[in-house]
Amino acid sequence: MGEVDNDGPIVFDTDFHLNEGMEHLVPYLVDPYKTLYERDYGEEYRDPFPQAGWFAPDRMGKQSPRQVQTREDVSDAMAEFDIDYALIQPSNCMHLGSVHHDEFATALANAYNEWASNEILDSEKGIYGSILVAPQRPETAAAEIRDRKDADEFVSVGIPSGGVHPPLGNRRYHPIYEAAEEAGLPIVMHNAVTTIMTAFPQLFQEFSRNLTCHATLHPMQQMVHLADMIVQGIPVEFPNLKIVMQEAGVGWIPFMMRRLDNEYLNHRSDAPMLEKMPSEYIEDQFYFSSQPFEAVQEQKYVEYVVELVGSDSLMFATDYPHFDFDNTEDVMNRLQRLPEAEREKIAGKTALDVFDIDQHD
Amino acid sequence: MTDASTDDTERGDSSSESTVYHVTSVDDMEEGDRLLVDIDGQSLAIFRGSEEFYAISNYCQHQGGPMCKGRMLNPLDSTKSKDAWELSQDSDVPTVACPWHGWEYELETGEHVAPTKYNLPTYDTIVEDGELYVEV
Ligand code: FES
Repeated sequence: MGEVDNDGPIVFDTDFHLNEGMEHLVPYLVDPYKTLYERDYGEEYRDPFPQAGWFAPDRMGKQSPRQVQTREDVSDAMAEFDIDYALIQPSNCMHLGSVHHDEFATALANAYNEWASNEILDSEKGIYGSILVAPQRPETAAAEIRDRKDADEFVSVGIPSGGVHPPLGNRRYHPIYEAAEEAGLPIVMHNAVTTIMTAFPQLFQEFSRNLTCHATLHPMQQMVHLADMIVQGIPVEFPNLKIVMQEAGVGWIPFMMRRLDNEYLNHRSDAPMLEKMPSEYIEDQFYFSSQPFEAVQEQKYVEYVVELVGSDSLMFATDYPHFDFDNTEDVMNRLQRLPEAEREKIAGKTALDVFDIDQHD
Repeated sequence: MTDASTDDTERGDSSSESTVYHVTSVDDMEEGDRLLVDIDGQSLAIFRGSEEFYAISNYCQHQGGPMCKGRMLNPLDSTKSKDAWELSQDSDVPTVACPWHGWEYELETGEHVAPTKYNLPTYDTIVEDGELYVEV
């Protein structure tokens, strides 16, 4: 175990990353990949992972790179951040799910596991890991799990889930789940955004049920537009434009306001034209229709979401006669405990204002 | 970390509550150098820029990252061209970025470069007879 801090609770960091490079993995690659790789690239190993334009001016040269590449690096960081146990994840290998050569992907997963097991993980020090698998070859992945399931240092199965196509509900992945369940190991899914970017639209085509599409895509699509409009400066260039987003539910709105603000503080130079924080633009220029108001039966949830989104931005909608329409009376009942002025705004006044309609007599 | 010593010399407005502390000799720091000093239990990060010295709190407002280990830079800006926002680096406002997640603060004012309420306390630096002092 790491240094236990006797004053506080046990701290288990469930997502702690290594900065593995090909120079760490190649020595553990099986042949023919090791020979091919070394012959082609010599010591100048080319990164085989797909990327989608990782040019981030806000990051480049701004932060000091923190490299975690040895067991000692892990222990040092655990001590620095008061971590008693850590679940170690790779960084580059998070792109594994999108490597276009399936056999090479499985060889890389295997090499990563060998390297991590030999050089990084140490159950006695609280340094645990996931058995990394390449979802491209589920049967081989299952064999990898069965081979390593008894090693103390592996406590889960890691699926690099970004860009994995078809999505992970597909039957083709059953061998991985069977092997994990049989081994009593949880599966841990971690995305890499640059791989999601290469596969996201196509991924949608593999959704096999309407529920999957409907539950995820309405809010995801609005999140994408909202983030893109703000980062591209639409509200800066069109400060009098009002933008209404419909039919995506409500819980994602306070989430995105905070997520965008949080990220903007790190990535300000990706959108230096902003004169206000993203959440302020959202409050000032964006409006959201309330339907389908998820968990409308939960009084506390409804009140909390309204408080976080703000009654100036939220506008009641039924979506009638679509199958997921909201009943006016039901929603209004849930808003009963709000101050009257707020309830009136959500019910209709904000909409009258947004659409510039004089209230009828 | 260096312990800054209280300067014996009386300085400035004696009615003010501030105290002047000696930090180091000017010659001991080159442009881009930084120094972590402890003044009355407060950690200050001292930087030498191209023109002057800066003193800011060492404790990043985000999650407490060590500012003294941050990189000095100038913030990126964007200007509107016909059909795009072009990135530029014309600004000569010296900043320091926290080494943990990159929150970037102006060294002079301590203000975060994003339009936010977050800022870091800054302190006046004084150079006299080749010696650097900070007023806290
Ligand atoms: S702690 Fe300084 S940017 Fe996060």
